[in-house]
Amino acid sequence: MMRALVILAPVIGASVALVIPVRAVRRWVRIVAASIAAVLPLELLGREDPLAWSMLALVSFIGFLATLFSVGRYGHEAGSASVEWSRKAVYFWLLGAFWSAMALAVLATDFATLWIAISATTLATALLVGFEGEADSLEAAWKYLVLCSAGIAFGLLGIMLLGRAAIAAGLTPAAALSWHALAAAGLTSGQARVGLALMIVGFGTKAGLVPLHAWLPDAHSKAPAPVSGMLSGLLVSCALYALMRTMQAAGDVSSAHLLHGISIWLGAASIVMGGLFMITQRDLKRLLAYSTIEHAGVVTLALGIGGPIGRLAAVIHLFSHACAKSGAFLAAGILQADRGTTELARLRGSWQSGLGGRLLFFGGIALAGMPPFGPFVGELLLLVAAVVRRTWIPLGAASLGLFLAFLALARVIGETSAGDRHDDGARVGVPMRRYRRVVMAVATSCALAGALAVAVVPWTSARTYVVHLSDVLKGGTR
Amino acid sequence: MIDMMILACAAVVAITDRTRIAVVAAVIIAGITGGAAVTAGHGSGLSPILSFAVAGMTALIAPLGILYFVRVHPVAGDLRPSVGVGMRVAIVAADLFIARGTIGLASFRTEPELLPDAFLLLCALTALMVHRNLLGQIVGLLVLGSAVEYAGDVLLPTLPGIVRTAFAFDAVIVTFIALLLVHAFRTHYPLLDVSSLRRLRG
Repeated sequence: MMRALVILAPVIGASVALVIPVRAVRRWVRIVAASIAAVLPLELLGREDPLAWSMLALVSFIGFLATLFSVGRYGHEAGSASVEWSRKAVYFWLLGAFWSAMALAVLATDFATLWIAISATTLATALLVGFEGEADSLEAAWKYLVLCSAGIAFGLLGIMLLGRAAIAAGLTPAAALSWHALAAAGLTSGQARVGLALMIVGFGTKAGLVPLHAWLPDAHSKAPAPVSGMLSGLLVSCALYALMRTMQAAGDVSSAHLLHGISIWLGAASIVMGGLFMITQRDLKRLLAYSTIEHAGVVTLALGIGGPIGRLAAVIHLFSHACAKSGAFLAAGILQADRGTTELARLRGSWQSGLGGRLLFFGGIALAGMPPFGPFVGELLLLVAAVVRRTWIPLGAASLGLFLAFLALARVIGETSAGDRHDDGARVGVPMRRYRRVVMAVATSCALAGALAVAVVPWTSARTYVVHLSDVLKGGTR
Repeated sequence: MIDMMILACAAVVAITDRTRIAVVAAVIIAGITGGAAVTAGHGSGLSPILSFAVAGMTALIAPLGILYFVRVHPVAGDLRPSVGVGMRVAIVAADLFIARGTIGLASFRTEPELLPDAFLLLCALTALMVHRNLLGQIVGLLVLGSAVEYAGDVLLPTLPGIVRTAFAFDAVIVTFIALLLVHAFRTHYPLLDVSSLRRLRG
């Protein structure tokens, strides 16, 4: 009952807000409903798998911040008039549905439920990606819908093959899709391997891993900033969580070696290609989108390398990147609202012009992998894990990709912070009241503080808890 | 007989250049795979009525939406294939060859009934890649969904009923979201040509 409430709370809250006739009251109902949905997961603390609960906490945290930011951002406007769905009410309802779908994904205990949830995220977000109604955002929404629907269909095919192999190996139909039971069974058949590989393709498409990434830079850069934050920070994290569960299901047998090999190469390719594309970008949101590919690569490579350090790197990086990327996208949203653009050349001198530029500075250094933020810890642990496991070629590729990404983000930080303010005359941004700007800045700051907290946690008394989280991923253990 | 019908309809979806013909072929495929799902539904605990409703959603509601769109916007009636008919036939022949090869692999040698499904899957991918009309991609996704549904009936008849229902809903909602997007596209790209979606690159 409580699980169902935790899952449905965001969409119920969004639905309740729909029927409130007074605009000011509706805004507060949205904030209160999001707050309730954000604290409800505390009821499940200790009753769920620690990794699942921590993912749920992450989903609730960023879901709440995105809603808070959206209340500030879309406090007085309705989006584009050119498309039917570009209405504030639709936006908030889809945001709630998206949040609920991700809560279902992380609370799933079998691949069937996980697949339903991941598939539902596509339905909830396709129209959000095309919310602005311009040619670019419609194109991005189309690519997102077609590629992710096709990819996730292959994921379901893989789940079916895995289930078939599990039943052939003696598991009951009820246990055939549970990752705990699959890990304990240690499947080695060819069908199981093909199934697991197809699942990597399906969930890898949602995670935006190279070469399955074609939709990601477009969708993440053209969606409204809070949606971009949720797509990059949460949806990619949920897809990576699904990959973690897939690898957990492979157990510690020969199927696992194939998966680890695939993960290593997909991860290394994503880091290198993400870094390369970041160097060439001229748009802030698009650069951040390619940075998501790079960071998804870090988590996947860490999972592929495996071992205690690799698993710890994957878990820490997953959480810290989710917070840092959400914060960076929200900061980009503040700048976009202020300056009317996300073109890097026109964002010079943003540091002087307000909180958006300053928050982007901190988001940038977090994503560049600099201390004291969490991504630094995750990347450092990844490199250590690669050395310990002697995976030299992926280590070289990862180092190159991380260096390129660092250069690209250093350029962004330099240009937006130290450059002279670009001013081409009329103000083109959306005029906002002071409280809205404060709400948006608070949401962004909280997201960045989350990235900092993930870095601090391993070195405090909670260290054992984080290690326990990564241990959950060990094959065959609960 | 049923296998031959699936093979023929799958080939038609990939080869034809008319949207209506492709949709009719997709409806036949969805009808066959949906019928198999109704039978398999008993094993998954899905009631026959719900199984029938689930099959009807993919076999009727989604295709009707596409046909209505074509009726309102005649330009959507041409699938605008990117290669000639000869090349499309050659690709479909290659699909059949690859499908036979896949079923011949050690992992699938015990599952000869997967041959039409493998061919269906490849033809759906061919339709997605060959047809430049945006509606062609929607039809390709529908056929891909039918292929996965059919694979489920063969591979895992005990697949939970909730997954079958969710998958059918997914196919229908994806179709209608895609039609909404295509409708919005008309103002920017009247020909509904997928090759015009190249503004976002690099």
